This record gives sequence, C-alpha cells and structure tokens, in this order.
Amino acid sequence: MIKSISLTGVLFIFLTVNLLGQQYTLSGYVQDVSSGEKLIAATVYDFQSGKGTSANDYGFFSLTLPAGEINLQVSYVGYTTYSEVFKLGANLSMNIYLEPSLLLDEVVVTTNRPRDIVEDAQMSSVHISIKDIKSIPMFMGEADVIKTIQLMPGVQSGTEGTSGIYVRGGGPDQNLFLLDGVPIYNANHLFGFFSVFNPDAISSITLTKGGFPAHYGGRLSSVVDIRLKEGNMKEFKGAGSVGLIASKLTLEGPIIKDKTSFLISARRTYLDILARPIIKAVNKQNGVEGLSGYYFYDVNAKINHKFSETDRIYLSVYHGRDKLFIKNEEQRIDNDTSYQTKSESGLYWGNLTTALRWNHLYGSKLFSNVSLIYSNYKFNTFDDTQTLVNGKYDVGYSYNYFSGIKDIGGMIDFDYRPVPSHTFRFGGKYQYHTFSPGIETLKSTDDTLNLEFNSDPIYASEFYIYGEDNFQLGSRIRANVGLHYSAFFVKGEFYHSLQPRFTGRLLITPNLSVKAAFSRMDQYIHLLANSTIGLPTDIWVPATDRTPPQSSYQSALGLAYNLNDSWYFTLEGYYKTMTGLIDYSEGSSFFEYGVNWEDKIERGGAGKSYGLEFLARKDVGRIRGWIGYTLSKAEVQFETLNNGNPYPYTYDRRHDVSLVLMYKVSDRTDISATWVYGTGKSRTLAVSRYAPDNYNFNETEYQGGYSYYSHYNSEIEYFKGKNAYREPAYHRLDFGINRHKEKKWGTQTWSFGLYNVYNRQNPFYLFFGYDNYGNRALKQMSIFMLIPSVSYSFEF
Amino acid sequence: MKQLYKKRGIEIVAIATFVILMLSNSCESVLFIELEEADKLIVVYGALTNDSTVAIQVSRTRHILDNANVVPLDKAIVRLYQGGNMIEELSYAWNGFYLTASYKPEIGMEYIIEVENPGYPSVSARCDIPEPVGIVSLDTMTYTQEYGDAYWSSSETMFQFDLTFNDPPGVENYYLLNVEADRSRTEWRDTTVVIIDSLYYGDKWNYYPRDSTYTVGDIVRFIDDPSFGSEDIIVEAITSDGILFSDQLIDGKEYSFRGLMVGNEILSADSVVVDFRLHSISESYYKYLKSRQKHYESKDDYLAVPVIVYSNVESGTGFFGGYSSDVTTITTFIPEYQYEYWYYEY
Repeated sequence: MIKSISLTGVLFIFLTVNLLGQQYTLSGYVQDVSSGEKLIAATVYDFQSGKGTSANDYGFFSLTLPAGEINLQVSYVGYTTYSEVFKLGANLSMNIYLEPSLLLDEVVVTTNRPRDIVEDAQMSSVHISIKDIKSIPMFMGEADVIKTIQLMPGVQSGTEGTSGIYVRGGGPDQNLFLLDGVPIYNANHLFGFFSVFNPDAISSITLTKGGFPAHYGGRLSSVVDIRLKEGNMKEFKGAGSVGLIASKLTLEGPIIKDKTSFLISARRTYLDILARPIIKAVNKQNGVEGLSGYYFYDVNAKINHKFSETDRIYLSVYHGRDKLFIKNEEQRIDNDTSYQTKSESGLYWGNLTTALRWNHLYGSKLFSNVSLIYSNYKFNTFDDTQTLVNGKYDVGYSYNYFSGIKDIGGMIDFDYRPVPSHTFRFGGKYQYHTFSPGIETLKSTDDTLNLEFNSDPIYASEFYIYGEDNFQLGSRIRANVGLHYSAFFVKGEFYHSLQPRFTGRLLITPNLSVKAAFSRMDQYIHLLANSTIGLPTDIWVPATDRTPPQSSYQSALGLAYNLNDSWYFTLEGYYKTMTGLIDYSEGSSFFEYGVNWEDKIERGGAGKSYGLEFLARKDVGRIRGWIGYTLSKAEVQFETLNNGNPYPYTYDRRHDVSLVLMYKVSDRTDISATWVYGTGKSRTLAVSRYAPDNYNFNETEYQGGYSYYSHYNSEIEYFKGKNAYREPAYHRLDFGINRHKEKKWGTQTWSFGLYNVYNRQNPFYLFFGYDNYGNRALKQMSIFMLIPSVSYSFEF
Repeated sequence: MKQLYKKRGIEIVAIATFVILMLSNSCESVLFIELEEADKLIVVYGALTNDSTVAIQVSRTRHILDNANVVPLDKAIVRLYQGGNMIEELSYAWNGFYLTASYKPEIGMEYIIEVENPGYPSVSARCDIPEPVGIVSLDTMTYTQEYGDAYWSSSETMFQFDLTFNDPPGVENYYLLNVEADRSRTEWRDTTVVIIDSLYYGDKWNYYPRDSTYTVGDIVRFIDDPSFGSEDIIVEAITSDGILFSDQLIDGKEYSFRGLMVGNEILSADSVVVDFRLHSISESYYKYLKSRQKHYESKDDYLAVPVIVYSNVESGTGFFGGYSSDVTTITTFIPEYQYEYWYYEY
C-alpha cells in the first residue's frame, strides 16, 4: 500500500513537471519584521493557482508556480497576513517580513489555526505557544514548558509537581527532547519540579505523539522539538524575571545589523544564597560548622551569522547544572590529640549541548542543513571525608558514583520542493555515544583503598538515514510518507531496523478531515528508572549484546473539525505495541554497591497501550483555552515479573482531564485557570500478610520471653499483583493573574499565582506507618498544598 | 532615593526568605488512607517427597493493617488427588499441618491438592516430584584463613567441600543443597552434655529443651545445622533452607559445586555426623524459595522494587511442589579440638 502511494507520488511529480507550461520558483525566508526571527511553518499560498506551501524549521520556503499573475498571501499565527499581487516571469528570491498583529484580540489566532489543523497531513501533533506558557498559572512563579505540555491530551504528568511526561502509555525515556536538534537526556531541574527549558530563549515548541515523520527517530513515544530563538538582527532587546526561587535574564541583539546576531539567556535559583545565613546560624547553634544548599542554573547562548542569502551558520550552546551539597566540619580533642574532620557530600547533574549548524540554499528548491552536535550529560554523587590529626592531614576517603552519556555526531538534512504538491525531506545522522552507566569508586588518600566498579564505559555508534515526501493528491488527500532506517553498533552487536512512517488526511468537507497514521519506532537506549519522580539517579543505558533495543508500532485514526475559524476539535484513537522493554528486577535497588546494571534488570518486556483523545481548543479572542480528555489503558508484561502476568504500567491512567482557560480582561490584565484530573497512579502495595512455609504458629505467641522468629519479619507480604493498587485520584485547580504595564523602557508584568487553590492533598507517595494507638496504618505524604506565588518580569 | 531602593530590596529579600521558609514547612502533610478489606485467602504449603508421608500446612492471610497474629486453619478439608483419583482426605495434626496416614507419593506422578474452608475461596494446586540427581562424589578439605592488617590479626579454620553431580541433559532441573548436622548420630565424648538449642536473643541467652526427655543441665553446648556459603557461579540464592540453583549454566554437565563453612561449626572433639543433601526440586518449589528470599532481603528497603512471592496455588497463595533427594554423609572429628562451653547460670 505504502509502496503504491509512493510510486503514485513519483509519477505525479514527473507528469506535473513535464506536462505543465513554463514555471518559476519563488523562494526565500519568512521572518519577523522587528527581530528578523524566522517564522517556522508560516503558510505561503498563491490564490491564483491554489497552490501553497509552508516554511520549514529554518523559515525557508520554496514554491514553484506557473508564470503569470501571482496573488500571494503569507500568514503566520499572531502576525498580519502579507499580501501581494505581482507577475512572475523568472525565478524569484524574496524574504517576506511579517508584522506582529495589531488587530483586536477577537481576530488574532495565537497558536494553532483551526483551518491548518484540519488541512495538515500531520496528526497527533501540537504546537505549544510561548505566550500560552507564560499566560497559564505558573508553579512557584516559574513558567514551564513541560508543565504546559502535560496539559495536552495523551500526555500525562508524573508525580505531583514534577516535569516528567508520559505519552500514550510510554515511559519517561521514550520521549525525545530536542533543543535545536540536540538530544537532552535529563530535562529536569530541582529533582523534576522544573524543566531545563527557559521559555524566554525559545522560539517554537512542537510535540509529536504519533504519526512520526521519517526525520524523527530514536524514541518510541514522543518528540518534543524545541527551537531556540536566533537573536534579534535589528535591535538590542532584553527580557527577564524575578521569581520566588529563581531569576532569569535574556539579552539579544545584532552584532552586525542584519548580518550577525546573538542571544544569551541565563537563569539561576537563589534558594541557597537566601538560606545560607539561616543554615549557618542553625548549625552554629548545634555546635557544627557546616553549610548545605541547593541551586540550579542554566544558560542558553546562540550566535547566528548570515554570510549571504544562501549561507548562514548558527552556533548554539546550552549548559545547565543542579547541585545539592552538604559540608560539615567537626573538631574534637582526645588525649591531647586534636582531630578535625571535614566532609563534603552531595550530588550534581547537568547537560552541556552544542550545535553548529550551516544552512545552505542550492538554487531555489533545495535547502540543506548540516549540523555538528555535541552533548554531555553527567550525574555525580560524591562523599569526601578528610581528617586532620593535630593539624596534619591523615587518611581521607572519597566515594564517587558517576553516570553519564557523551554524544558527538553530525547530521545533514535536505529539503527539496520541486513542485508545490511535493516536499521531500531526506538526510541522515551519525552519533558516537559514550555511556558510563554507574561507575563507582572508593578511594583513600594514602592509596590503601582504591576500588572501582563498572568502570568500563560502553561505546556505541548510532546512525540513521531517512526520506519522506509530504504530498498533495487532488484536493482532498494530503499525506506524509517516509522510511527511516536506523542502526546501532555496540559491543560487537549490530542492531538495525527499517521503519515505515505514514500520516495523512482526507478532507471530507473544507472544515472536516479524517486522519490516519502509522509508524514504527526503534530506540537503542533505555532508562533505568529507579524512582517515579524523575530523580537524576535514573540511569541511561544502551542496548547491548545482552539487552536488546526497544521497538514500537503505533496506529492512529482521528477526526479534525474547524468551527467558524475559532474553535477546533480533534478526536484521535491510537493503539501502540512495544517490545524490548526493560525494568528493574524485583528486589533490586539503586543503592546496590558494586552490582552491574545489567545484572539487576529484566529484559524482553512487551507492552501495549490504547486510548481515545479528545481536544476542543480555541486560540482566538479574549477568551482562549482548551479542554482535553484522554481515556486510555497501558499495560506491560515480563516473563519474569508478576508471575509472568500482564500488569498496569505505573502511569496507566484511565481518565485524564485538562481544562485551561485564559481570559484577557483588558490590555493590562489577563487571568487564567487550569484544572486537571487524573485517575490515581497504579503501584505495588501489600494488602495482606501471611506465614511462610513450616511456620511455627505456636511460637509467635509470647512464650516466656522467647520467640524463635522475629515473627513479623518472617511473614510474607501479599500483593494482589504488580501495580495492582490504585492511589487516590489526582486533581488540582490553579489560578493566575498577570498585570502588564507599559513603561518608557518597555513592558513590565507582575504575575500572581495560586497553585492548588482548593488545597487538595494529592498523593506524593504512600507508606506504612503507625497511628497514635500503635496500629499499623497506610499513610499518604502530600506536598504542594495551596502555594501562592509572585514574579516580576520585564521586556525592553 | 538609593537608600529607599536599598531598603525596599532588603524588604523584598526578607519577604522572599520568609515565604520560602513558610512554603517549605507548609507544603507537606501526612494523610491516613483507608485500605479496603483485602480478600481473605487460604495459604497452602506442601513439598511432597517420595520417602515421606504427605504434610500440607494450611493457614490464612491477614489484612496488612491487622495487628493480630497469623493463624493456621485447623478445620479445613484437604484432599490429595493423583491421576484424577482422590488418594486421601488428609487429617489435621498440629500447627496447621494435615497429614496422610501412610501414603507416600511417587516420583514422576502428578498430584493435585484441593483445600476448602468455609468463608474462604477454595484453592487447588498441582505438582510432581522430579527425579533425584545423584551425588557422584564429595571432596573436603580444611585450611586456615588469616585475617588482619598491621595492627591486628586473626585466623580460623575453614571447611571447604566440592560436591559433584551429573545434571540430566535436556530438562530443566532445579536444586536445593543443604547441610545438616545429625545430632541423633553424634557421638559425644563428654557424656554430661545436654543437647539444647540456644539463641542469643534480645540482651541475654535464652534456651529451651529440644526434647522433653532431656532436662536443662549446667553445661550448654551450642550445636546447630552448620551455615555455609558459596561463591560458585551457579548460586542463585542463599536461603535459610539451603543454597538454591538451577541448571541454566550447567545443563547436561558433570559439575562440582564448591561450598565453604567456618570449621568450628562442624569440627569438634566430638564425632559430628554431617549430611550433605542435594534435593532435586520442582520448578514451583524453586520459584517460591527464590522469590521468598528476595522478598525478605528487600522488605525493609524503601528504594527496592517490591518482590511478589511466587505462588502456584489457584485462588489462594503459597506453593505446592515436590522434591527428591540424594544424601552423602561424612563424619568430622578433630582430636585436639578444645571444647567450647557456654555456661548458663540460673
């Protein structure tokens, strides 16, 4: 079927190119007039011929049209439509500059145009607007990209307050976060409560949950493609904010006007600085010299240089780090000998990514992007102790646990638009990975102790090539058909797969389309997730000769409907199967000293998830927002877990609801509210207890002070099954208000928020304890009840 | 103006600090959760072997939040079937055990157990007794293990054994190896010794007579089944019942299993008879023992993945398995060995 569609497409190009009359190509970039920022996916349309296209990820478009009169319209959400009528008598290169719309809010679409949603071949994909991220209620005053994505149907959040995403029954490792095309392995700050993406530095965000185009690969469940701003080519601009826990500042501007621009954006928490005097005072009171604290920071920087109309380069760097530290110093004197012990322990983690990209235009129809990428993710736990005896250094000990991934690679992508009805993309990528999954060292300063476990890194090569065609067949059918071939070479083992991709739509009426998608995805890395709150202790590990890669097939069918160009509705059903899953073995723990990760996992897990997603969304007018609902089921099965029976996935959530409302009261004030509801998480919880074999029931009674067993410990806890217990449902209402004020120097905004307005005590984790009468009880730890927040932001 | 800004800045920092401290204290709470009544289930244990009558232990589950002790079921109906025919309805003896009068199961036959008790779902399970695997040889040796560094030193006598057996090819075999000191055949040099079990429990030595025919004397000898360890590659779990392994790595091969124990557990001036028992156990027995051991090891580790103990009992829990054994016996004796006494004072 796929083959026949492709053949039809090729034939169609041939006929189109040869049978039609004289044609010329109109090409160029669509940009913001005030900043020169490229407008990704802007629509370019000729009303005369009825042909159109959209700008690619770099704002480039190419449209081949018959010679003669052209009635060109170029549009982009939030911008005034550009119109021009002219005669096309030769190939024409033109850059089109759009102005941000000054129209009333009633007619300005902010994110997704309903018409585009219906007409686009892509399904299971959504664009997230930076404006929405900043408009909806913020957690502790910090606008967060991932927390906004969590509000989309098909996307579930993890534990209370955290930034993990679980897409269509997939695990947290199955999401590919791309920052300017470079994978980010750990997208969390502050143990998952914030994501690493700074909205002030971001230009666009696209979430794809299914129907993956062939240019994406490497993860099973979703792709979050985040593009950084390029830096203002016209004038110097800045933005920043001061919040309860962090502040950030973004500066951008031309280095050489219209030639070279820069962007730098930095953010840091100051909880450690604010709390330092208090911690010192408390320690002093307790007779201890010490200090502890936590901070995170991140920096995004980008330089963009335009050599000519056909050549540009971009250099972008991201660096982020979280650090938790505890320093202590104790002194004692024993038999006239003074002992001074200094210790420092803690953990830090972070990413460094770099991308150097070169855009080149070959003629007017072929666009290329060549990238060199580097990525380094590190997680480190340390514990150093040093003793001084009478002021001289004695033996010191240090324990270190390190895990990380280093990637270096290159990629090339081509965008070829021979005729308006076809857009070809093809290219490839190579990455060389160095995995360090859990290296432990234990050393003493006098070299009497020098132990290393799992010290050998694992080296792996990964590459893929792909080709796809986004084409129009007649007036009703548009599809994107492609093939993605990927391979992974590790420890003498060669894994590879050919992955067909399809997503398409059939226009039933101008406002209603039926969409379908199918994709196979393969993933050569796994995440050993020890916790459910995205702790950095989760370890990235590669597929190896013992642990095969993951693979999935996903099919989806859906409807898209446009109501009066202001509302759109989508209804999608999906069915996904997964193989090659791994999980920790029963009884294994992150803190198992000296145990190789491959000895504490189960392999060969299979999973399936299916569900129905509904989205009603309005992105135009003073009142905007959406309602999302997901009905889903996700389960996994391992031969060696749960007695071989299938069990619910940890984030299997039958019902998931998101309500988002944004209301612009006036030019100075906007308010917003979100309400979320989700079926409780499934978890493994003992419900009964029973005696082991050959148990002596008589000896469990009090018998003159003697008990052969410590009888509680010898009893066995009974579980109905793995993940068979449902935690209480999760729901929460957040509220936010933004007050804007124009100043001579720019705009200031005060944002006030209330997180968990009705103070719902949602489960963070459950544990067994005792009540006031000494009876065993099941308890729930809840965090983040009603939390007010305030932040101040500015733009100039 | 500068001072005003400074003052305002200090105020903002003070407020922010206060808010953060307030938030960190106020955003945690502990809530009690109702845990609905779990189904009460029958717990069945039975390990059939060809040289003994059948003993099935029957008890029940308790709700996890119920503080009461677990108890046996002494009024259950327990029936044993073989080849579709009921062999016997077992009689209650004591401590939850139901016994056949004289019936001993046979190797290679499939058995079904059914247990009924009013108020509980009826349960059933099936098993067979695997063929025994013979011990080819047992080689032992002792050596002195030195410990210490520049500041201290110590040594002890270690007892090492190599137990050789032939794993049958083409079938999955599961093994349990244990070592027992056979007190009934021990020849005591010091005839005043009173055999009792003793255990240091709490903050003092406790004792009780092993057999009511003995009375507690003034000299107490601690004798127990020797504990032993192994770093043999095939070891999968070290349980209180013995060492557990399968033939995953040794299928169809002759294999010498190496074990080690501290010498003073079996080497003494008395002549101690020690049995080395290689049990060929059914898959269900193996899975139960292995998962039970992991369950115990991870029970109090909050970071560990919970272990669900294996059960092959339908509508209930526990296990019903079988085993057959081969035994090799040695007698240990060291003439120069010094007596070690524990004195018990009334």
